[in-house]
Amino acid sequence: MNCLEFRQLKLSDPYCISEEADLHQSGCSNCSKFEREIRGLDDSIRSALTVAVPEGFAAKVLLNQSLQSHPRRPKRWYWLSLAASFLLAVILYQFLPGTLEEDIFSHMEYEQVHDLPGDISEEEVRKVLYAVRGDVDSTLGKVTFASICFVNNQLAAHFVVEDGDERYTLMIIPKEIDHQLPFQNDRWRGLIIPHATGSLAIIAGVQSEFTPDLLRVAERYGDSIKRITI
Amino acid sequence: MPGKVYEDMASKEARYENLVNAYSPWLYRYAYWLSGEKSAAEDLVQETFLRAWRFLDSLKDEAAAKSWLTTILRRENARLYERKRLQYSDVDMDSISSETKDFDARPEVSALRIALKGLQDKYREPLVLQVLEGYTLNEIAQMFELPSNTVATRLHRARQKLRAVLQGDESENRKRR
Repeated sequence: MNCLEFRQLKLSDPYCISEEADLHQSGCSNCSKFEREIRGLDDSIRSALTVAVPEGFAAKVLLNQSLQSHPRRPKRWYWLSLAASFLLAVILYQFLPGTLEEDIFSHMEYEQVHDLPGDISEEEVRKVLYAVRGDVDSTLGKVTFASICFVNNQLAAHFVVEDGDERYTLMIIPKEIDHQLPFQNDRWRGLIIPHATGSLAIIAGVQSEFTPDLLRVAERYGDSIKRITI
Repeated sequence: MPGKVYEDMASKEARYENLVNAYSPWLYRYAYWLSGEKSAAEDLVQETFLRAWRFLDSLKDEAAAKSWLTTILRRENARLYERKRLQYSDVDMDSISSETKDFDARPEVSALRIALKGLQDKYREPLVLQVLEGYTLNEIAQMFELPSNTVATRLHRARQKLRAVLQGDESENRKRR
């Protein structure tokens, strides 16, 4: 090994163990001095490179990992938050609009319990209609049930009307539709039609011997109700 | 079965904790010299250890942990900071002098630190690994996926540049005297 090779080696890898290099160094005072200089240089470089590590850094790293990827063990807060989430889901489900027909059927169930025999006065009918910006233009006939309710999260007017032997449920719903919408389940069948107040639904029981023309009935009641400007 | 899961998790956590305690100081220093900023260095190490946690099972040999973590950190740095890191040539020298509490403040060491910041990445990075952590030339070459000769040349040039800085500093001092 000559002086050039020795210096190249020491500049690229001062800590390399090489018999050849040791042999050369022992016989060459200049290279021996160079080797000491490079070791001194490396000591200074090491000092220059040494950066103070922030206090508690390892703990911070561990905490970060714990927060981001620690498996959640079922503790008390976990079950509480789970229960709260479930409750929230139930509440949201209650208020989330289902389909219009589903909503109407649920009101039919309510009506079965609360529709008591007896006539509702025209004044009472007007009050209920007023809630949906409606009024009677001509009489609705016999009304046995009148209530303000929520359909699709909007105020709606819910009536039970009688026409001869037939009994219908009539609902005035602010939701606007642009086409007729027939619907049915195993107990009721109905039809929703566009109306000046939004839409009008007429519902009859499917067990009835008489199969009414729901469109004709809906249009007749629709003509009796007008929209008012408040 | 859940008991077994928790045992495995506890064992993984203990292993991870050992790694963090043993290598986070080194990784922080290395990250500092890669990114050029203390806050970026912290972020880099945090990201490195989060990734290490995810893939801890792939580390079969604990003896290889340091180079495994170093490789993760280098990749994270490339991924996260390559575009936005500080250009060392633009580093305000006042900010360097204000960092004296974090560094050795002797004049020759300060001069070297500034020179180190001015070195190109390709020269500085292998030097940091070799001088701070004692990686051999071959280990660095393997990590960088470069031939040993290339790494040797870079280390050779890096030392020459820094030596010139110190020699210049000495001659300046002689002139002043």
